Amino acid sequence: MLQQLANGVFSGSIYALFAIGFTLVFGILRHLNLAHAAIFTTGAFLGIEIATRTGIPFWALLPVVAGIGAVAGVVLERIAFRPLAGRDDEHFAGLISSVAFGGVLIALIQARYGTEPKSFPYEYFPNRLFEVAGLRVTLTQLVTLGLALALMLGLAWLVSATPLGRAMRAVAENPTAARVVGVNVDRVTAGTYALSSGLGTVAGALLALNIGQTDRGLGASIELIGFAVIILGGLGSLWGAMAAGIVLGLAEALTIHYFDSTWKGLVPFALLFAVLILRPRGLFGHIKVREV
Amino acid sequence: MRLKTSSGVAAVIAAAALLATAACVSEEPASSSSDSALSGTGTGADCTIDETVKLGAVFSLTEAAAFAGGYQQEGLKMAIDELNAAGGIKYELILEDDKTSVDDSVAAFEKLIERDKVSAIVGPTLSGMAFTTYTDAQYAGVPALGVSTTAEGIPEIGDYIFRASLPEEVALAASIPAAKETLGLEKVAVLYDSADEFTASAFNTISDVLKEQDIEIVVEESFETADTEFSAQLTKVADADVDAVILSALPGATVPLVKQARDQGITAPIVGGNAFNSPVLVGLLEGASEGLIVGGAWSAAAETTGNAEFIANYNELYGRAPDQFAAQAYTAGYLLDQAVRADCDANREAIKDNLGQILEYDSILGPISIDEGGEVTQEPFVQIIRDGEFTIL
Repeated sequence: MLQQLANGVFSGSIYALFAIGFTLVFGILRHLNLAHAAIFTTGAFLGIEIATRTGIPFWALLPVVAGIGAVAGVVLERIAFRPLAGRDDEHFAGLISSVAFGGVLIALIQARYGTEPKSFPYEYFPNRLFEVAGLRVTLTQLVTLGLALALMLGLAWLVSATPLGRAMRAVAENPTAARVVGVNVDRVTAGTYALSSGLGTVAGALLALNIGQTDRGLGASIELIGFAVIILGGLGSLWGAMAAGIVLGLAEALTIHYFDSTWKGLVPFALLFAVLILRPRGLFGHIKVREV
Repeated sequence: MRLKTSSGVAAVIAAAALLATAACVSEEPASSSSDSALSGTGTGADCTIDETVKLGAVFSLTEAAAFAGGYQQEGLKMAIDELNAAGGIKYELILEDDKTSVDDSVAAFEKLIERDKVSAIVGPTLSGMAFTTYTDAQYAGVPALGVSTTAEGIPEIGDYIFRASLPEEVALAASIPAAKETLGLEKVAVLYDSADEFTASAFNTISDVLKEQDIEIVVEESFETADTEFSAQLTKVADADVDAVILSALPGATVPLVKQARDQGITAPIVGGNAFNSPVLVGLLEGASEGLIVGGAWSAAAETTGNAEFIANYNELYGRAPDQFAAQAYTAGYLLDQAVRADCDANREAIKDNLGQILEYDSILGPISIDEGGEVTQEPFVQIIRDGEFTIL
């Protein structure tokens, strides 16, 4: 039982990490970036390729992957969202163009890596197993959880206490007013995408390390639960995404423990609907207030 | 106004769709009469047919099942090239990608049957597609030979439907007793993919075989095809302290499952079916593959007729080691050739009659037979992975 709770927290931290990148863009820019799952998959493949080719240690790998992810985020914003800015259908058109961008990324992944799954070199990351009070925890799980928490706290700090964060909050509140008071909205927008995609690629590489391999469907496999996390937590809420990620991870693990794994898909989504009926704005969402 | 425009567009699209359907309907049905140019002189090895014999193949070369389709394509091409080099009959292979989609596989079969007028079709990769396409092939009177379509009920679709693909059930049913003998199994955990019809039906066979062998199932857990994270299920396995883990999964889930099991400290041997039988899997698992027990239709370690040459030539041609999918598709090429040469006739009807008569043909899969009902009979190979190599158990 305790072990299953730990399992739930570990997988929940990955869901949360996927979801915060997504919800960041929504919270600040009101963009639904459906290319996020493809960015996530790209992170997994990049991590594996760089680790295999250069053998650089894990702690150095993640910043590299995040850096490439950030560049991809800027490109994504530049070609899939910025040309649509100011149009009546900006949000809907952006949704479609981000799907297209994601499709292009997945096609490029297939062209470069083929259709077979890829995995990190054997023993690239020490597979140490700890047993504490009957609890079995791998080093990968601990590192993932620690990194996820650190990245989330770092992001929360960045948004609340730095000049960039202030500018982001200003844009979230009212882009026009932000521009009037001298905020470089284009730069903040690009920065938000860079941050979101950097987090997305790191999350992808971490998941690939955790499950042992990646294929082109990695992002798609987590996308649906990621959306559930975002809605459950309240669209645009960072803290909500973190909490909801863990809640859904726990719900899945406990479903398997008490019922059967065939119910795994049902219980978390039933939970989602229950929350939506009882609290339509999600666990941490506010009505008509944009939050990041 | 806007509404009017969009309904106008909708009307145009609907009209275009209707026209397209009408065009399909008015297409002439395939002639089922035999073509005398496709029957030659002599029999067996001496058979000579002047006209080029067209063979179709439908594999999943992209999307979900591409892990198998790529190997199948390579294996079959290699067989056709060898057969063409041997002379007497010139084969032309027309290859279609069904993109792991039922719609595309139906379209591919239609094209091969109606437009290319092939003598026989090899494929498709997945049973899910075979159930639809084989009904079409049966209706059109075109022999179809499956090389990885292992689901129950496929040969029963009709007398034009055959398969040279060992069912997952047979593979697992052979590996469990072999594992029991070597490892002395008493209690096991069973993990299976409940969302996939073959692995789910294999689970029933596993339960029956375990019961027959007096082995107790202490943990029984399922997961779904797209799952990647199995810690909740594996926790139950780890708590139970079993002698072995029996796994019925598709290749996509196999690698993460085995890796995560080893990461969680589960050291019990893992017994699996066809999905384990791939050098790619061993490559991906690296050290974690050690001690896996694999039942399958083919083994790189088997001393069957032509197997060593097949592996060497395949490596040379494609720069990678073949897997079971490649071996089965390669064998299919030779089985079709046998069927054509039996009466030196490459007409659909003759191929159908002779494919169902193949008895103990000496292939790289070992002696293989196909009965009139279209079902394959062959001995499965049970292997264990030691030092990264498949070894016969």
